[in-house]
Amino acid sequence: MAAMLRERSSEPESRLMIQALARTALLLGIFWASGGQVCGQEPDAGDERVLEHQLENGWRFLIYQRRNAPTISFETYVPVGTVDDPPQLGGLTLLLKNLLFKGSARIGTRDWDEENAALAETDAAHAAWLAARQDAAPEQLAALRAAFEHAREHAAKWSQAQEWSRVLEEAGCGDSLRATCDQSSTRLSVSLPANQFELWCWMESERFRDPVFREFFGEKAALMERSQRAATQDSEQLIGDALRACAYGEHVLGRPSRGAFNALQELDRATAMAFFREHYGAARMVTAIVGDVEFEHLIPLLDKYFGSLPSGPRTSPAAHPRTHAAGERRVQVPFAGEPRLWIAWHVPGPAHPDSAAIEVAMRLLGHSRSSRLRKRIKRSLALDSKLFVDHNWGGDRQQSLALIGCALNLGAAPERLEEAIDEELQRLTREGPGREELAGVKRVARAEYFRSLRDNEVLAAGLTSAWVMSGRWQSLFERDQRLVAVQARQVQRVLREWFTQDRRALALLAPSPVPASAAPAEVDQDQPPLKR
Amino acid sequence: MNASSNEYSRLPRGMLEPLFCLALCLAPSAAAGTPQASAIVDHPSQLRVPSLRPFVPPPPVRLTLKSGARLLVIESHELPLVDGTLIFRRQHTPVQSEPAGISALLADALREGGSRHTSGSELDDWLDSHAASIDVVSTPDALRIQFACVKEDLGDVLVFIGELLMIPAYTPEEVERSRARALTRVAHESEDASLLADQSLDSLTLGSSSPLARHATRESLKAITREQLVRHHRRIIGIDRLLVGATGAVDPHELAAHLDSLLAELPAAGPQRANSAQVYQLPGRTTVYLQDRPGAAQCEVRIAGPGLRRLDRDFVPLLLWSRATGRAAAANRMRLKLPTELGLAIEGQLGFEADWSRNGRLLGSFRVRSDAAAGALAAFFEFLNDARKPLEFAELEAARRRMLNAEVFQIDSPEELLQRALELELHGYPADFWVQRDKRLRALTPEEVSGALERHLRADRLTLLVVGPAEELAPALAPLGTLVRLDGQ
Repeated sequence: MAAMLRERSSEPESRLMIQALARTALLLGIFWASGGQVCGQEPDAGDERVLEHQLENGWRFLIYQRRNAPTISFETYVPVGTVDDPPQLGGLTLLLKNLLFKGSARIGTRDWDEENAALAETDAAHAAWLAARQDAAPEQLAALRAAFEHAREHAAKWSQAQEWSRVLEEAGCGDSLRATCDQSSTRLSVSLPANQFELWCWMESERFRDPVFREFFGEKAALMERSQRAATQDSEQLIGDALRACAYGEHVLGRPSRGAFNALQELDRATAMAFFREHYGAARMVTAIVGDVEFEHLIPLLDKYFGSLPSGPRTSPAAHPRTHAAGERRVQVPFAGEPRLWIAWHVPGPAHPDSAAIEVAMRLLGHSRSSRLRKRIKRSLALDSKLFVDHNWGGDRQQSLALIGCALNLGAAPERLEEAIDEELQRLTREGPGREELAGVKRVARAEYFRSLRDNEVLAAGLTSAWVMSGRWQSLFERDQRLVAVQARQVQRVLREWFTQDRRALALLAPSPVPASAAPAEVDQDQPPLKR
Repeated sequence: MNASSNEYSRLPRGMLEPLFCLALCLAPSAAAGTPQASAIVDHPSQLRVPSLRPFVPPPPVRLTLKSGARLLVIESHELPLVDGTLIFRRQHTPVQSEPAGISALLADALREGGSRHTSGSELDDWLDSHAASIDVVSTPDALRIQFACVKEDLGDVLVFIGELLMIPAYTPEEVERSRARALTRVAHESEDASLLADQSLDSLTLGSSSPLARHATRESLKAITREQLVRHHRRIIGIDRLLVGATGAVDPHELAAHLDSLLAELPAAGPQRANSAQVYQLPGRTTVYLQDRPGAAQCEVRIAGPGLRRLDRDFVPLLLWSRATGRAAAANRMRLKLPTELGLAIEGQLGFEADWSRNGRLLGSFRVRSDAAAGALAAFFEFLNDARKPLEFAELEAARRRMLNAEVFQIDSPEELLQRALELELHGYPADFWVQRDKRLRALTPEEVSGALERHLRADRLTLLVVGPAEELAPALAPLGTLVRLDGQ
């Protein structure tokens, strides 16, 4: 046995993975997927193909043919996120994300004429109740509230809001029916057996053509309740919101990710629909379709179902103003549960040329088990903590935060963790990464990347993200090459340039009083920055 | 717009045989494969859906190693990558004499500590530099060592795994680090009301002495010695417990030869003691347990009753009932009734759990605002009574379509196929289990579902657990059954 155990290769570094991964890339059809309409070779059964198809109204489809199994994954990317919420209506985009599952005039109703009338009555009753809240007598207010609730109940009798999800579930979507909404986007995704392609066309086009926001008030109340719970009990939500506010101050990117939980109290259906009509037009949509598709059958169906949707504004959403480094900021949030320390630096967004070097720097610091910070804190029993890094957190295309986050072990002192992060950062800046260290990080990044592309859903999400971030879906497949090209000196340069103390924000979630070395900061950009 | 008349959703009988030959949907259409220039129909039920193209994924290659261990391999050469698992099965469950939490501690200390040849840190360095991974995971029925690597590195990765299995380090320093992590985890878990409710329910339904109901505590973790870990390693890691699965760019016979050579000296762990880990504690009548969390804004609610093994003939009808009633669907009975019709802010599910190696349970779980808990519980019990009424044919068909049409996603990748095959092998199920299950699923009648429900849903002998502010909740819970406060008051 011992002999067998010692047979392990002694030349790990000489046998680079690059060759293998190059083959991987070739097998995935990535290198030929570069530009043009139908990329690379002529269609050939068994090969994978990418097709970009844009309708006259602007809706863009990115189609990747992969015929391993008779399934298709879809993702529609809407470039509308919580930063687009109107002032005083924080949470509206989250609400709309949920309302897009409620059907239309043709699906989700027992009788549309009856329901439409009942919904109008509900809206009127809600308006009357709201209008009276300022100065009506309590009994009158109670009566108006009761009338509103009665109207809601009446409307609910005509609703079959679950029909939209039910149809897709019965078609075989399993648990793949999802919607997410972050700061800059709303993503709607589902996977279906390949023979249900036309069903998807019908359903996806229908919810953007003619959505009905049925069960509006119940959905709104549920969202506000969930947001309130998250804002007080979810530790990741708490520290994330605290760090965003700390880093960005009054800038839109500093808003809570779920909106203010009581902000939607007075929102009515008409306002929500007006926002929808303004922001969710076809011209802004990008949909990725990955799986067992035939282009010649698929394109006519896309034209038929999506071609008549209103274009909406063709302009991209206005870029948010750039924030400026205003000095280090710190905040501590009292929390009885697991303590956490998150530190972030203002860095440029993913479209910036430095983005790849920033990603490599963050990976060197804390991505894998052998990374500098993980090794460093693992050596100390009192500091052995769960650490993660993210090179592109909480931002938009133009600006972002490079984040190091830690959940602290029992007895771990946040000051010591912060000290360790500082020292490793300075050491990496000063010395730069070792040759093999850098090569290892790149190999891990490439392997993760190729493994992720095996999954149709992940590939669909990657295609839409790439297009939105760079205007080219091809950039998804070029990211790998950008990482490989990063040199040690570039890592040092971006660390010197972007990872400075005055670009840093720190949030601590802990039950203890604020340590003397970490005075709390009010989240207010007008205040002078706090220095340690 | 009558949902029950959906043409697209008619299930063709007699299809899906044999398993993996999927031609699932549904009203085969003459229009299949033809671009359609017709107008958009008013409702998706009017769409004509073509047949799904036949799909025959490769079955795993099954080999027996010299040691008698089984090896299952699904080759896939699309990428030069290999994923695999070495599974050391535990006949039933952890034996009662084991300190609670020792298996999870062992998994962490084994991986982080490495072997006497290669420390955990050196192992990390090598794996990261080769974009490979080795992870050790403990579950009640097995210890799993999972790996992923480029095919050229498979031999080296297996050697590292061999070192972990045969000459593990368990250095005192690494054991203490693992213990510190485990203690932190336990401390944080005590803040998690949902987890507390799950753990309490295990104790109430399986008995506090059941190995499945014993969870790591600060005390149990502190008491575990390095020597106990080493003994535990020998007890659970043996060649006679091994099952191996791999997928990717790997030749099954080459892998078998490699494993034979590598693990030839791995000793046997010896026979395992069978135990009755899952003897359901059925109360004489519905009993309500109340666990106090003063001031909690949210209540965790659990409802349990006895269930069945997957192999039981009544399990499939109960599974179908579960899908129709309260599991894994946006439009099940429970969702339609409680949040939608009654407007209750309840997030939860209800159904019979599927378990491989032991009887499952009927399990209902939901979370509700404390101030609305009393009304929600009353509504839930009323719903449960209604749920015992026979399913309508349309409900049954809808649940059946949800399950069968999504089946393709269970077998659309080599990794998923292998996982399925390994579970059958691990738990001693017949290789055609899924074929038989789907046959049974397709043939079920509403009467069979009702009959199974009648035999197994004991609505008068449920165990109900509520975790929340006791003073506020106690008056509302008393009418639901015998009330027992877990804080002794």
